[in-house]
Amino acid sequence: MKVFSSIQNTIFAVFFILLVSCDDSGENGTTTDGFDQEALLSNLGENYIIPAYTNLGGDINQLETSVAAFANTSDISNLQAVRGSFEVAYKSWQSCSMLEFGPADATILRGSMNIYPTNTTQIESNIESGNYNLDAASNASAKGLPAMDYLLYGTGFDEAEVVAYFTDETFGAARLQYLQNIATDMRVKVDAVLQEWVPSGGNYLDTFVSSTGTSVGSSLGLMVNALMLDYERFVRDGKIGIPAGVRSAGVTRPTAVEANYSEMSKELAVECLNAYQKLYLGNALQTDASGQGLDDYLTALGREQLSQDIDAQFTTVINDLSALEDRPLSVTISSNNQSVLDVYAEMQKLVVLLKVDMTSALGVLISYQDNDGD
Amino acid sequence: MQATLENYSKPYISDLLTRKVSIAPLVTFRVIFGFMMLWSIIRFAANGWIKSLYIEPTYYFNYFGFSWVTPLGGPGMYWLFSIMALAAIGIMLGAFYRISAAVFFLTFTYVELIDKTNYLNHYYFVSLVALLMVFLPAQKSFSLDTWINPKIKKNKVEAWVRWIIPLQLAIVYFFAGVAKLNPEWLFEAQPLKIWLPSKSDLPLIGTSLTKEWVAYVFSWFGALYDLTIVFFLLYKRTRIYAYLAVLAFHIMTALLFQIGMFPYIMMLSTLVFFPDKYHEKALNYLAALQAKIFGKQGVKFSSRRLTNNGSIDYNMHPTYDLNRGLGKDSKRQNVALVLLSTFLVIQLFLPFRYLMYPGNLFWTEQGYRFSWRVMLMEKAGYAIFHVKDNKTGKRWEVNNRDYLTANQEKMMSTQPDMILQFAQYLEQVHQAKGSGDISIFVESYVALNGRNSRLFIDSQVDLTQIEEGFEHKTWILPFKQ
Repeated sequence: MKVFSSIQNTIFAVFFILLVSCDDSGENGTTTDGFDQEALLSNLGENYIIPAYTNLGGDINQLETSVAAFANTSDISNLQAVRGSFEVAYKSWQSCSMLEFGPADATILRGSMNIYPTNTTQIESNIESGNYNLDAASNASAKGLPAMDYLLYGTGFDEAEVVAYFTDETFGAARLQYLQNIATDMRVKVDAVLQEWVPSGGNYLDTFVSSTGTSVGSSLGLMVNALMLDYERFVRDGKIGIPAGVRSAGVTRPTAVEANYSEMSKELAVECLNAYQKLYLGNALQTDASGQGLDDYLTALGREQLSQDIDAQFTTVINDLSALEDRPLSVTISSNNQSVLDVYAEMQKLVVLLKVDMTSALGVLISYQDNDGD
Repeated sequence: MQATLENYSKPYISDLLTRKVSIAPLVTFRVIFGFMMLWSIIRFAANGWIKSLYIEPTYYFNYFGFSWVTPLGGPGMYWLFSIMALAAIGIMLGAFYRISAAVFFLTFTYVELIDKTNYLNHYYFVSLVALLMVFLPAQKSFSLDTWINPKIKKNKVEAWVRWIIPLQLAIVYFFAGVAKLNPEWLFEAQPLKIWLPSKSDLPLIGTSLTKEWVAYVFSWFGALYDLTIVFFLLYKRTRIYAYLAVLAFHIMTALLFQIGMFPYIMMLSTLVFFPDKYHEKALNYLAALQAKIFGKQGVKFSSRRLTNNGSIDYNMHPTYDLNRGLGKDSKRQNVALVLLSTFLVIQLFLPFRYLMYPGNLFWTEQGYRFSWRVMLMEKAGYAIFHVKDNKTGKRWEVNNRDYLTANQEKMMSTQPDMILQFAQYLEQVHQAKGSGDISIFVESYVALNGRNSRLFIDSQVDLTQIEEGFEHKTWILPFKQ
């Protein structure tokens, strides 16, 4: 029974090693067990993500309704109503922009909602020809909220002129039709994403909550990668960096700001960063009630300082954005770009904290492309 | 059981090297290696990596001194990989073996030299083994070459020929083990302390991976495994348990980490440690299978039969000559041994070249590659390149993604030599666009093994003024705990 005894010895040795090691780390308090990833994911899904899409869905629906009313009776008061719902919807979108994974990724929601600067030439030629497919790649920057921003604010110097644009004898009807079409296009896509998420529909929430871990296909992996891509490309660069000339050899491009015509750029940026901070902290979208967030996860991993640093940096960026001069961002860029570049630098620090420190601490692989490592 | 290695008693050193042993282990390794390479190439192509790694990027991080190795473009890279796949099949079947092995080595190594972004220790291992295979007579049995020309058939090779591959494997394991003997790995359980909890979703073992002591057990076991596994594989009485450990270890790493083919390559390669008789049995089984499939008239590589005691009865085949080709050309053999020794000495030196550089190896990565440092650190970085027009004084930032793929950017941001290369490429790009006198600075942050990120490269140094080379990079900021 020689073979048997060596197996016994091996098993015994393994147990011995396990026991000894167990004893060793007994006093060392920083264990990570006890952190419930599912609780984190279900908190984010139920209290942030689904409410965010529900809000957006409601606001886009409202927008579609006011657009229809404006199409019926194109007067100043109805225009004001449309503008009101537009502003609400654009703000709601800021809580959803970073969620471009899962259903939103499959629908390419951001591509339908918020590609700017919008292509006014394309919009006008679509209207004139009356023959366009909003899903075509050529129309990516001729639809969504930025197109509406142009149509509702950029087609006249005052409300009367905008109303006149829509009541024009030749093109008025086609313009109203276009406005309705892009509103419907957004509503259909947001509804589709919302339906995929909710338990009564596609129940992606369930998939989201049960895909724990931090590998590439896990929920945290997907979400953190989506956050980083959105934050770098669409928040830091899109909202601030590109208009401030950071990507164009220092030549500013003030009209490339988000919501250039309605001049909501700064407000939207603040709204967006607030949403990011909420998501990071795991706070409920509506009530701001505290829940399990990425900050709690970092703390559970023994990185309490980092957890607080990130939160503090979010606050810094929000404060600095809010402190920008109280006029359209495009004007500030033209007159005092340094103040915008200073905000950009603070936003950049957040990239380092999130992309380097947070992902590294969580063990999330930042990769927009799959590859082996060693 | 006769004829296993352990039973040769008290040999002289020279006998140890030149003693005649069965060619079978070398032949099975040839088949396995060819097969694994073919599989790897198919997997690589199926994942779309030929395109995403070697056709789509606009810039490639070449190795210093190898700037002449460039990708071959659209159809070219597919041709190169097709030729590589054919060569792998050639190795597996032993068809036009030397040419196949040489072509495989050259095509594979060429591809690896295109972009250091894609450096993996196991690719380096494959290149080394492929080079060895060119010179090993692995086609002299159970091969198409011997079917075409039975005269070249051999049943025995000198011991050193049979033990080169095991030696190469021993180098890989041992140095991987030595590399783990550092305080971070042993006393901090880094980076496993970060990586294991992230896999808590795995069934069965998942929940235990979040416990800190498990990271310590894995770290120590990993180091111990790498350092000792070869000895246990060599020793008859422990071999089977050692091989079970090989399976357990590599299956575990395959589950835990995204390391592609490496675990499978190692699990199959280490079979070469088993004694000759197992390899002979395996080859005979394959031969019998072939006879069944192709019928009696079909391809038949071997006519060996096992005797009752498990060794080969060569008398059953009159054309077999035990001594054929042995000791015929001792001069040639001496040259081969000198070359081989050089090859090995270089490999023994490379992992220690880092000692010639000051600073923390993990931080500076000076002398990090080609040293079997596998899964040794969690390092993440972010590099922002600032361009300054020296005439106008204007400064702006580069969007790295305009020039690099996501993977290239990720790899570049933690490796100083790549940061320098990219900065100098940016200078070229800007000058081609007509920018005159520019300076390029990098603001880069790196987090290593769970520490907070900190500035990595001196952000005041104009990288366009730095020479690429092997000298110590004084512009890397010192590592502080």
